[in-house]
Amino acid sequence: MGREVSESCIDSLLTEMVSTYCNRFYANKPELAARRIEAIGYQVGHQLSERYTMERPRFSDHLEAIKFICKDFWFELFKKQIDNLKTNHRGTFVLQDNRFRWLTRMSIDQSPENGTSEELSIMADNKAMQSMHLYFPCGIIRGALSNLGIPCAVSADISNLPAWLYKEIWMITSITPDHENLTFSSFDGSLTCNLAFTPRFICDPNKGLMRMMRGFEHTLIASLKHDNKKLAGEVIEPIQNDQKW
Amino acid sequence: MFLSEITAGAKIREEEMIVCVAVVGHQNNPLYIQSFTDADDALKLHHIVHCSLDVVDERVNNPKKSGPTLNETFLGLLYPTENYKVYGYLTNTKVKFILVTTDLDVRDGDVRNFFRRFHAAYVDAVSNPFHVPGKKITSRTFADRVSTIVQSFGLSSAV
Repeated sequence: MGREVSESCIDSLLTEMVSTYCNRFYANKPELAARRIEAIGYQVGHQLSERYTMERPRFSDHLEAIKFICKDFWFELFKKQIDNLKTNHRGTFVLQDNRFRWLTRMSIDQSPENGTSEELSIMADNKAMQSMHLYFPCGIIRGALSNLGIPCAVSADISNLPAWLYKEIWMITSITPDHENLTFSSFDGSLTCNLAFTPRFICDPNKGLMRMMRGFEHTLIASLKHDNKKLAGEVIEPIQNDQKW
Repeated sequence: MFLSEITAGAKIREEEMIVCVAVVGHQNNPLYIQSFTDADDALKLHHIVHCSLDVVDERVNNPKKSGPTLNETFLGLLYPTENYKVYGYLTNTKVKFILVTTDLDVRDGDVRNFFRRFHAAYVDAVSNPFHVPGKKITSRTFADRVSTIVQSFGLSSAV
């Protein structure tokens, strides 16, 4: 009974929305653009949660509501469920989508494998662009959860790991992250990277997880596994504040 | 004498069934109140709806039975007053629908059906981008849909 719209229309609409807010309405003020886009997402999430909870019995606790987001809600929006859900049982949930539908068609500047500073700034630009596109879905999730009675902050992140893994894109979505262990995996799940870090860091939910690590005072220990066999383990030195990630 | 006159005519009975419907937000703010009878003071109906909110809260916080009826949206008969029956429905988003009917034979299935259609109309009204969440619903389409649903309440052929 509902009318249908082709998916490319949605892709175009979202791309255009980000582009308009970033380049026309709030040019040179990406913070404001991000906030506006997130607010639009909030209202959409609010309304969608009304619609998608229509036939269901009420949720008895927060976990049920989060599971609803991971399964039914995500399925309605992205035609798949969340691949992994983790919690620290203290109010933080990490939703991991290995292949986020709205970013699958997004191109990324290809660059050689040398770690020049120019290279790093291209990477930073790519990250900025991608994270701008994530504000809308974050707003949707926040709006949906708020309507279900769970006020929260939502932040998203994509992880682009170092050079030789550059073409693998994977994503981790976290809610008020103060997590100690993060696992990123590639699309097919064969490549996993686990980051363990001691818990002192500055958290700014608007800026996303990775930028958080700028204020990071302790070492990161990363281990890479391919098909569950350990490939390499390296210690990443603390990042200075003025260094681009 | 009046009672026999009312019960005599089946047609009049059905038309007089629903007295009032109301939508109340999660902060107990009224979003939509519509009465379908000229007989009673609108204020009195508002008062009935307002009292029923307490019953809803009590019903939700102190569930009498556990099991399958625990988290159901349809709350059933909230309380009977001298002339009316009041039914409640609580959505996942803590929005309450209150239905006030005349004190006649009201079938449970009819009320559930009513709330299902009413919920669908509400969701469509809220999805309107010009609707401000938390403010009253001002959509004419919604009002028309609600009166259609109300008019077909109790008719066995209603979908």
